[in-house]
Amino acid sequence: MYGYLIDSGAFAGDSVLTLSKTATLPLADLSSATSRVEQLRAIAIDRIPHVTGEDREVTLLAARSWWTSSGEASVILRRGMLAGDILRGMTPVIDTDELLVGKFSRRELTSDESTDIENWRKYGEPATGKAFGQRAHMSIDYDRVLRLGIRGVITQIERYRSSLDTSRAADLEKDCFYRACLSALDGVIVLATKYADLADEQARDAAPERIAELTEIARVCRNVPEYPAETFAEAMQAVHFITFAMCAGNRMLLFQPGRPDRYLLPYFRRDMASGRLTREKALELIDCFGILLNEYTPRGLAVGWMVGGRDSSGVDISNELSELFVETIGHVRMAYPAVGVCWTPDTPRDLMRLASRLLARGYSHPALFNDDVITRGLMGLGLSHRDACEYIHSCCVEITPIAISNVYVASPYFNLIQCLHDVLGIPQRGIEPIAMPDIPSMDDLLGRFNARLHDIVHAGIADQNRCMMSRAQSGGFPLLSCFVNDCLADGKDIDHGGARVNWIECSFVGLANLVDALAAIRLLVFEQRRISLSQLRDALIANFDGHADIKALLDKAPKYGTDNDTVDALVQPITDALRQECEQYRSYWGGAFVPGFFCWQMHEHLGRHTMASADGRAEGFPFADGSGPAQGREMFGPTAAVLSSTKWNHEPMIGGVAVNMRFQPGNQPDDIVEPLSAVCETFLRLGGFETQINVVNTSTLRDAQAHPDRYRDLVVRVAGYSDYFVGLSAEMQAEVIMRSEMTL
Amino acid sequence: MTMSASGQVFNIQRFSLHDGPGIRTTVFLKGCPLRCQWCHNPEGLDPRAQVRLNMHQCVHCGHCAEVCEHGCHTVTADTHAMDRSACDDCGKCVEECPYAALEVVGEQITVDGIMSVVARDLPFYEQSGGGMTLSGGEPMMQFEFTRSILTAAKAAGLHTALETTSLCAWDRLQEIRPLVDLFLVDLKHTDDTRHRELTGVSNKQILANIHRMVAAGWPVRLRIPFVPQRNAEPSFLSGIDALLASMPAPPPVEFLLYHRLASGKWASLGGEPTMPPDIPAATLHDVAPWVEALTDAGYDVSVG
Repeated sequence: MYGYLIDSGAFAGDSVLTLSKTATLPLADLSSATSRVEQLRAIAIDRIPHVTGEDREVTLLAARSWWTSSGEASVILRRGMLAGDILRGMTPVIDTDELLVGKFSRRELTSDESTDIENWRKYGEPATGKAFGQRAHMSIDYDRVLRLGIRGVITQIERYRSSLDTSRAADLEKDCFYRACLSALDGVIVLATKYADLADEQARDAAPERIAELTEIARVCRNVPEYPAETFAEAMQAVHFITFAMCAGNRMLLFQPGRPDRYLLPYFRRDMASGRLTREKALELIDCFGILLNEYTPRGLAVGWMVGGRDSSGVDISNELSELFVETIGHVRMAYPAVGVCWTPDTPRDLMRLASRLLARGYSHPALFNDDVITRGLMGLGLSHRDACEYIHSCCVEITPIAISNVYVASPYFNLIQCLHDVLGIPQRGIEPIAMPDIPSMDDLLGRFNARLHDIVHAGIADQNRCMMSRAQSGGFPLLSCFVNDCLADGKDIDHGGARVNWIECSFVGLANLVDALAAIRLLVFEQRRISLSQLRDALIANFDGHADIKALLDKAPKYGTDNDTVDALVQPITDALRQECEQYRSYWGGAFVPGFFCWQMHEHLGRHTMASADGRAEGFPFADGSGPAQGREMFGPTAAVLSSTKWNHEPMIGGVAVNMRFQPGNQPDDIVEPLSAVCETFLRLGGFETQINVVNTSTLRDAQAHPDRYRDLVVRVAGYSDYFVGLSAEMQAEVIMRSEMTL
Repeated sequence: MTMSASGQVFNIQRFSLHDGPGIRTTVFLKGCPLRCQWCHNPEGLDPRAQVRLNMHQCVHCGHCAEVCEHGCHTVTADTHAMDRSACDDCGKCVEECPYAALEVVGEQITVDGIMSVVARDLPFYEQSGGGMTLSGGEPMMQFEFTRSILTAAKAAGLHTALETTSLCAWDRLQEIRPLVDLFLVDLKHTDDTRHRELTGVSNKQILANIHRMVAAGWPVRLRIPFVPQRNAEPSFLSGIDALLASMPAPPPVEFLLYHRLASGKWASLGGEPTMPPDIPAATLHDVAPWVEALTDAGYDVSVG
């Protein structure tokens, strides 16, 4: 990520003065939500620090369920009962003015209840089988929720069950799975009914204007998600409630609401045509949904939806509902929803302009994804065209297919610089160096790098498959399996291989650093012979102490991000090597092992543990994020950075490719919309996978460090996801500031 | 002229947003006949290449003094003096400095060399309606070179803009007219005496050329630096008003606000800033009355 000054440096003075006669016509204010939404938002912002870890009531209900089900032999059935017990036992909460309902009670436990948890932790939990590995990070089949309702799914399950012959071993196992599903689904219905009852109860003492709303909430909760949704409002409640139930009942977070501008469109259009719904009312419900995501997702993660993109007929489906699901960003103005716009050359201008205007205001959403590139990448992994058009970011930039997916993402993170350091005999920080072999040529170095890469990837996939195996033996998510195809049809839990897609997506961190390091070594060691490899190694181990000349030479060497063809040409062979290495492996369930360059916060974390590197990076300094240039290395501005970043094929990197860019705000937000969108769209036209934009002043970030209380809602792009700046670690804050500081 | 013509260029700035429409690449040519007191690009004045010393990057290692064959550099633990009279711009010290404290400003570069950089951002020009801008210095000082670059840019299908003071013979402007899609014409003052005081040259030819270009219907945009305590005075505002009033189809006017970012450049080139440090940068607020007055008079005015 890096910073650019879009605006003229000549604007040194008063930045709020407007020249009324020369300014363009004022555009609609993008941040004016209803007073209800503003109120709910204010409450949600107050709660940010308290949204951490699992709700205590859920922990309690889970502990009690494990005790009560201990007589049951089937792990999968126990896990279905677990989900049902949690959902049935939860305390419903409806807060003032809420239109969509369903959230954790966050109630304090009694001492007896806390003792129950402690006893479980002490005596029960150690005796249960461990289940490791990536959880959630996917989008379920919302169509099924809306079309069939829970009742319809139950009917489907009963039909499958009726054809089983429980005298046969295989069918007996399926029957256990189906019974587990039924227990879990019952919990969803019971919890929704409890919400309906609470709404009715609250209506009795409510202010007159609230009575109608609560009565409507009660009516809706008696209808959905149990039965098919009939209206847009019902569909919104069903989508939110099932998403929330997934989190609570499966005891995990990060379920993506998928593609609402597809599955909600029929409800929206029908209600708009009949006059039952207005655009404003729809937007208010969407705003409420977005705010609720913040109430049950701790900060530092990502959750949200995608809009736009093509369907399998090749048509860009962007529609009036896509706009609403983007416009809400300006109303919610929080870390979530993390909205992705799936760009195609056919994306309507209005939608792109809306996206750019929101970005120009510094909201950090939406991210722009390249629909054609991603669809081709998914088809390259064997998906049908139809499945390849229905994908989701899970949850930052890692791509998974919707409704059919048991995909581990970011599993694991590989440290590319450490891989090079292993070849050079440079250990992680705090460990004694080992001897470096004689490396006579660049080819020899690259050969050794690839050999080391092989070892690292091999170990990584072995670990991940061990996780999948642990889940096959001790895991199981029957509630989730009801909405991931083809678990029900096959009678198999998602942890037993029931999903259609069982990939593992890994992430390689530090691409730009590796490219810059290899470019510098090639130039200075093997071409110009200005330094020897052992001199370089000594300098890196000493963190350049006493080697300022070598550090200066490394800094001066050409870098990725400057549109230097010689350096940029290194990227394709590296990515080819990573891809070919990954292609050799299969996941435990036979799925692909897929590479990516997603890094979340790991560029900072892995960088902290890594010695100085040949790109001139100091010891402990963060790596470059995603697949853009390293911090401060894009000397020729954003066009050169974009060109460098798109000279290699992004398609196979379905595990996620992110190129962050940071721009200075304009005097007026809309001042920078045109250049901003031109840079982004050119990046996409050139085959860029995903880009995300920060528009914020360094001075603002510094002020936020000094006065965190005034900037509690300042959201910045970190690396594929957005987070509250004031909540970041000091190191991470420094990293975000540093990205721009060196170029301004 | 062949395409291999070459000239002195001191910067090729990609992602320029303020020198014409869209995303542009601006090529800065060295050499300028004016000596505006507020010059923002002092490295563009001298037509030759110059060695620049960026003191904040110098670590006083003394390596430059060792490699210089003319004894230009005198480096101590905390000083670094450079005797420019002995310098022949050989560039050896620049090549050897590991800290990039020394750099050559100005490179003899061919038209092909320029185009190989300018053409890289073609996708951005297409997306944004941008192109190439020639600036300086005064591009017309290297007329043949300027004409060759513009010819090459047109051959490549680029939108071209030329930023010029128009201090040159009229027939030269006429000669390049077909190669330029937008003339960004800088005007420093309408009063000749003040123009001489502030820039060292008369404005007679400048004003005459502006009148001709506008009368002939060329695509012209007047760019006017707004410099407090220098040309930001009532006589200039009324002069602009009168100039525009004399034209049947007045061109758009763009004010450029004086800033102090160039002050460091003077020192690095071994010179003294010509603007006293107590003259503040101009603000939108300062220029607002001018914008209002000219807008009220019916002209197309903006602040760039």
